[in-house]
Amino acid sequence: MRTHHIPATPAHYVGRHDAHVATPLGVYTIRIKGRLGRTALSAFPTMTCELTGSETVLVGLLQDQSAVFGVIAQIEALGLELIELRQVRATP
Amino acid sequence: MTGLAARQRGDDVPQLISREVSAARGLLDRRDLLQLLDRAVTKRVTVISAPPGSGKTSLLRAWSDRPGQHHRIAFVSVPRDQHDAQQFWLAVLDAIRQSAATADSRTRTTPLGFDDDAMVDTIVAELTEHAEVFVLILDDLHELRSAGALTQLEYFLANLPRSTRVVLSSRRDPPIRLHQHRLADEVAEIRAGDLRFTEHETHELLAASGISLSDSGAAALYQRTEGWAAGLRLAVISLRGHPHPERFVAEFSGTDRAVGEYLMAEMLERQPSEVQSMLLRTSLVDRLNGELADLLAGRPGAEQMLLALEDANAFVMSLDAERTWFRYHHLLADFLRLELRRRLADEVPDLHRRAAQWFVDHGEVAEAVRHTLAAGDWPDAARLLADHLFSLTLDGQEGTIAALLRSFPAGAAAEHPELALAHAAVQLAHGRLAEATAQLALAESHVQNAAPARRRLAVAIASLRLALARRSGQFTEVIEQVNLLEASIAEGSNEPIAMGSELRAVALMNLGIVETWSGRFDDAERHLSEGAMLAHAIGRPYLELACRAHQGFPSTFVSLDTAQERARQAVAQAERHGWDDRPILAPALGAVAGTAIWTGDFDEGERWLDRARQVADPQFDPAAAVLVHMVTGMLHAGRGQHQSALEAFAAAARAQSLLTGVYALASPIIGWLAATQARLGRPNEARSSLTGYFAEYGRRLGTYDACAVIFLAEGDPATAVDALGDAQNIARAVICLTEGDPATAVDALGDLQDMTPPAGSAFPPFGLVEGHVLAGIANLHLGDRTAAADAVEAALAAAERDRLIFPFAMNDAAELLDALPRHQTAHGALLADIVDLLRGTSGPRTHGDRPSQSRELSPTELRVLRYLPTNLTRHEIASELYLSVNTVNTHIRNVYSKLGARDRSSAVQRARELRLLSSRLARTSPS
Repeated sequence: MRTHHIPATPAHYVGRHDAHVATPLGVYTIRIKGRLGRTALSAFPTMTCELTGSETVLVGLLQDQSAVFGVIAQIEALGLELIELRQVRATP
Repeated sequence: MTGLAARQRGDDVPQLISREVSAARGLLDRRDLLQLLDRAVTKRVTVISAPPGSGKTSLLRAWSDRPGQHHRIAFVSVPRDQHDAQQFWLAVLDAIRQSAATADSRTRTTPLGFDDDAMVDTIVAELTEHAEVFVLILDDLHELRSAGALTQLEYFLANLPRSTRVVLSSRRDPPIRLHQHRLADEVAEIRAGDLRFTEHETHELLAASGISLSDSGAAALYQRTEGWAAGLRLAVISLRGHPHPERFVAEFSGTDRAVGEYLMAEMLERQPSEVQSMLLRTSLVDRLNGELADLLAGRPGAEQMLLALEDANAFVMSLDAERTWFRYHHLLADFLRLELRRRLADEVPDLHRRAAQWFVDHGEVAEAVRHTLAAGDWPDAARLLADHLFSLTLDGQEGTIAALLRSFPAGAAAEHPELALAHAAVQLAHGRLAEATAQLALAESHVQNAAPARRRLAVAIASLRLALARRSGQFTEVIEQVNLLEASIAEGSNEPIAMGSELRAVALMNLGIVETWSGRFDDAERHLSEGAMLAHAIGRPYLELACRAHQGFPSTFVSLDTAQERARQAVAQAERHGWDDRPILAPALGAVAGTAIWTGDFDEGERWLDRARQVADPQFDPAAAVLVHMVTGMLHAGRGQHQSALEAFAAAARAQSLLTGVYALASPIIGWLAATQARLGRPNEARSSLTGYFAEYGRRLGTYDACAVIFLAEGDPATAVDALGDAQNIARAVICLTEGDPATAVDALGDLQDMTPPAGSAFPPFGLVEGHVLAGIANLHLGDRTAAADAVEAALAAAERDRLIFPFAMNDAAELLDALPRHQTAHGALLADIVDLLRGTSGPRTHGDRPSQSRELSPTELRVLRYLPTNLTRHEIASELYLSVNTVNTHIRNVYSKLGARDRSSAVQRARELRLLSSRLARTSPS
């Protein structure tokens, strides 16, 4: 149910055991304006965060495009301002 | 401190919130913005696109409620995650009707059976009635997740009535093509930048909210929030009554925290603990009332808190004029949900369970399933869904079922057979019978291992199998399933089941339908009547219609006239609900057509047959498709068009051979097929038709001869010794006649001449009339005019009550009728009618001067019609009109039917005569 799920980043999506996944996993960094507190960060449980200056940088492995757009939707829903989204590297 | 809850004391603000109150609550009267929207709405489409918290809804509400607002406005808020196109359009229609509030709009029926485009047409038609400007606001459009609904919205915008304005408000630019409107300069846009507060407005807001802040403090607040409406409103809530407003602003400005989170956390912190607790625990439902909030909060008093929060403009909104239902601003709800999981994670599953129970108790199954899923109770969710599957299906909520199914974790179907059942229901609704069968088999293989306590599951499976078997035309299977189901219902009669009545009505409907097609008309009559009454009693009009649509056939107790009247009433009922294009109506339309043809009213029959052809769908109901082919053959045969008749009867025979059970119409179809082959000079084909089909058919009849006997004996089982022979012998007689062997024809008809219609039976003696007609013709050929005259008189006597004129027409009995001296018959009026028909002077008028069935074209049909004179293909027309090709095909069929046209060019010609083509489009005509 959507009401409290984090649509795209439940922990099991990031599992590396899923042999059926055709799309390569990718490590993404996401820069968001403002330092996020614990509440907002809890919306991104699978990503690690760095607070740098007046920005928050989330780093994590996202399974596919659906996961990426799920994170973006979450950022939008919380009224956060997305500054940059970048794929750091695709895992083989 | 002045928490929001403190405001609840005393100020019992009733329903209407005055301007002054809203200003005090921090809803600034933003004149510039309101004027911006005023200007925007001069265009036909306004798009408001901005992130959450930008003040879209506030602006729209303020604009709608503004004193002196002279436009009629329909305001629709799309609920969270709206996957269901039907519910979306129903909400739009409701809002429009409420706003229109004219006396007649209340009595209008809502087209419950959902046909996407038909619904949009209804909306366009109703909006067209408004001469003055009518504004339709669609707020939170980003929550509309149905691709179908978005396509229909595009179509709606392309066909917007002149006086209608539409405002689309969304977090993102809506995925809708607006290029036609843009080219015409008919699109206005309001974006995040337009919605931002100016520094001046920030000062005004603070002043209006009674907050005294230094100029530099106000400037800092403005800079920190960047004029973001939600940020300012949140700040105002915290600042109001704050002991040190300057310090609050300084701390806020001094932090790098994200604005929304910081301010929401501040606002929450400043609430009394019971308000905080209530907000957190109620955040997981999308909408709530006092009762549900108390239940979740675990203590009373929630409603007062919610009212106070709304009055304080604290991101709580009431959803109805009585202020009993509320929702949180999405931004706040999302924040609270995160906070709830962070602070009270252990409680979350139980809160979902409580919510689920409340929704079940209040009949909101879909919500209940969603919360059960959220609680992680998959087996319970699966059971809940299965138990209410039929209720949801009967309400036409297949879209919701499909969305719920998607919410289950991957692989859940394997563990929970109930889910396969739900999948089967969804597939069945889409006519994907093979997929439905596979899902059902999966469910069944599980239920065999399940505990016997899962009787509900068995009942649900039996009922689905029943629907599937009927839809596939497997009649033997249907009867077995009904017996299973009946035993199952009886077995659990002391155990209350919510869906008992619905299941029973569904079983009765399926049973009655299969009995109808098997020719067990008396049983069918009983079951369908009971099913229809039950469906009516439990408020299932579609189910009722499905029963009634199959009651248009005569039986021992139902005369031909009564049958036709019933079929007409079923059609009228369908029209009232906007269901007259549904395949379920095909049997009723076919029945009216068939009875009209039997009574010699071929033109009337053809009109109804055209309608039947449009709705009949062999995928949906193969049996009804057979009926339509057969009646088509009758029409041609009655008009002496034997080649066309042959094709139709052959099609009927082919369609019938795909059905695996007994089929009531098989015997006349094969008989007429053979007779028509004989008339066309192909006696050998006719013989092989008879021997081939009857050999096979007779064998298959073995187990079901009772059904055939009852049908073929025309309602009198006692005389049904060799009923199967009737149609066969009639066909043989035709073959002999066409081969110039009338003596053998008379022999073939055998005892027929001594038969009379069974007394007391309402069933029309179809075969008897035809037998007498053929005997007459045979005797005439033999030169025995007396015997011929006797046979005609017997035929007329048998035909009189029901005016069975068709057999005379099909067998071209003109010469035979001349053999009967007029003064010798007791049936002069009928004879005159038949002679008139056969000479083509005038058709008999069985129902007086019934008005023409051609109906007015709908607005969409007119639009499609106007493309017919062009060279555009149907695909191109579909693309021009934002419709699917299937929909265009349907409209074109309707247009042909309503105009009485056979093809594109005759439709265009007829439309020209009726001046239905506007001059502008007519110019593009190639001719």
